[in-house]
Amino acid sequence: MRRAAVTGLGAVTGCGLGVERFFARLLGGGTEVRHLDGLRRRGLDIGPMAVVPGPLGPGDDGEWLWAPSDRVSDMACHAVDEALASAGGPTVAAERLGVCLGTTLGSKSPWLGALRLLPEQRTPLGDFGYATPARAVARRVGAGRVRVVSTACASGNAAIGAGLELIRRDLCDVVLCGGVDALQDFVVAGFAALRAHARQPCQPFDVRRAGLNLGEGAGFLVLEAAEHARARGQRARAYVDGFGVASDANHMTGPDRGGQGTARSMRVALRDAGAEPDEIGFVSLHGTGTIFNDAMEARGLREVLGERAQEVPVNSIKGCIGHTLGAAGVLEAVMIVRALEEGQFPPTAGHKERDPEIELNVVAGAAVSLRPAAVLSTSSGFGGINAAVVLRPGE
Amino acid sequence: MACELLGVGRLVLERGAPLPERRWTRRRPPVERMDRLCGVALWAADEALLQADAALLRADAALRQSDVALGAESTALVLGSMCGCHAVDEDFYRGVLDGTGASPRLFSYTLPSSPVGEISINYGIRGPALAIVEGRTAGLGALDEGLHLLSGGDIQHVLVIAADVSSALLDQLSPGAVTQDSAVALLLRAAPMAGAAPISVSLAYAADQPGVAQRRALAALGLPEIGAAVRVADYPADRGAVGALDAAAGIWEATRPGRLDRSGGTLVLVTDEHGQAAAAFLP
Repeated sequence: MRRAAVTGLGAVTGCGLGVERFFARLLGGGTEVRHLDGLRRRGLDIGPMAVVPGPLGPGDDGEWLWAPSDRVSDMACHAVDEALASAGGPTVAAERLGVCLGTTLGSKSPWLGALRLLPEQRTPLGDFGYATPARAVARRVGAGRVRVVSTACASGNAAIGAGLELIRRDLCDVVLCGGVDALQDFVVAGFAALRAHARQPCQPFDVRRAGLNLGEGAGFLVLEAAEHARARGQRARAYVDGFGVASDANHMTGPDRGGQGTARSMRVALRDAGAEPDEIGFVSLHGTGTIFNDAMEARGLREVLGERAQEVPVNSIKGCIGHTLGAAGVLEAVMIVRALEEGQFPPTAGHKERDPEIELNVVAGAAVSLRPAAVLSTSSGFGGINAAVVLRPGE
Repeated sequence: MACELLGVGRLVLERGAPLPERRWTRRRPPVERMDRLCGVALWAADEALLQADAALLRADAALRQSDVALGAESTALVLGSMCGCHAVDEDFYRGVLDGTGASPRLFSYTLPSSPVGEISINYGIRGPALAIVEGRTAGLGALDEGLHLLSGGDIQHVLVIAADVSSALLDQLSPGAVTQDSAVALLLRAAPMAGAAPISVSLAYAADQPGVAQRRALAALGLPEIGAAVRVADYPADRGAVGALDAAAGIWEATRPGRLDRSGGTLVLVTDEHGQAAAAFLP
């Protein structure tokens, strides 16, 4: 079976443009979540969130959250440009180049903009919907295969899984695996309705955690068949060796409290990677900062790692960049690859005092020096979908 | 890929028409609380299960004995949809705009993967689940993914579903894309049994060049061109991702087992204006 190497990374987050800015901020334990004046003015200030700064973002005050323009494709293209450049711009025939994208919202802003118009003012839209950012990327890079997956907040990991599949099936030699979501008033109003948003910066796994912070962003991995990378002299920065997905079958918005679904996805990913639980030296958890998610993940991890769950270091990146929805899994993978390269794993921003019922070794306060044999990354989403990825160090 | 088609469920409704009453294979799901996309998908899925005489999954009881038993963890769900949850997006957002309030119930359905979530919950299916949303080819894309899951060995059954719903707003913004509310569901089993008909699916993309994408998809099936001996199936193009998968299912149902002659056969071919193409070939 062909092995999938990560040869490039790209990121657009609340930290700004670029992987290094993102990783440095994570290592420093900082946060980019803040209150937006535009939301305050419109009575939608549900709490701080992390938006992309600069021209790709919604403006310093968030006023562009109501704009009908398609930011999400621009964010995706920027991230994929960085990823390809960092991979040394692999040359591959179109038929052997794929794009796999995970998203929960796609390009929804034009649709929402049309809805705000009077019926007589509306005209047919061009390209809009879930596949729009993937097509923007595919058009840009000349890809010959496009897959767009949507599994709620597990979409990013699902996109990595889809890319891994294309490599293993020998359908592609290079796959650009990405996740992207851009905030609009639509999703802000939705999480307000669910009362899931914290009024202060989120605190994953903390005894005082009170909900999530929304975020937005785009992340891309260049996933390349290992022999293809080797042939062109490109080193593998890491390997994606396993993927697993499983369903809770419990509730549309609430996770299975026992963590059985996420545990199943982790076990499938480990088996897929040919890895034993003892090999896992770090876990990047979904860690939204909600009461139920964080507790559920702790139980699920204990199901898989047993007593070691209290020792293996874990983190969540959502205290820094918020919950980036469909981009979350891929941005976590970007963090993991950089961390494997540096031997430094970032702390969990916002975490101060661990909930005693969450018996995990949460990295907090400062980064931890590690050289793990394998790392697990988990995501969970509405509808009870859970997805996990196993990564190993590169060359 | 040799596998067995155990059952097909279909539903085609005029916009907004009520879901037909049915005798559900297990306890009646609360479809009136769900959005339209979930409702039509669930109805078609249940029909497929009924047809297959599948054992009902119960979270707290033993499986009922049947010719076909669905394992909770060895059954996968794959949905393909072109336009996803746009209808409930609109319902939810209207409440935001007109001040009547943002409904948490509606918001929980504003994800194109909601149908697989509801099917998972209502049938106790705990295996892989995902939604494929890459445009009009998403139905055949879901079939491709379903076949791949079956080939891995861990998954014994896959419910492949395509669903799309219409709306007046969609008519204005994307005329002709989806004019009815419909779904089709196929229950498949990995089974190199006597009589299992092979089916091949391929997908391709060429930015804004549907002809190039089509050629790539055909080449991947070993069909460099559509020969005279290959019949190209018609399908309704105004049902989003549903039409092509429905056509493939219909041909598969009618295909006599044992025919492996590639000099003939039927092709279902989908292309869209963006350059996405998908092909399903049934010999």
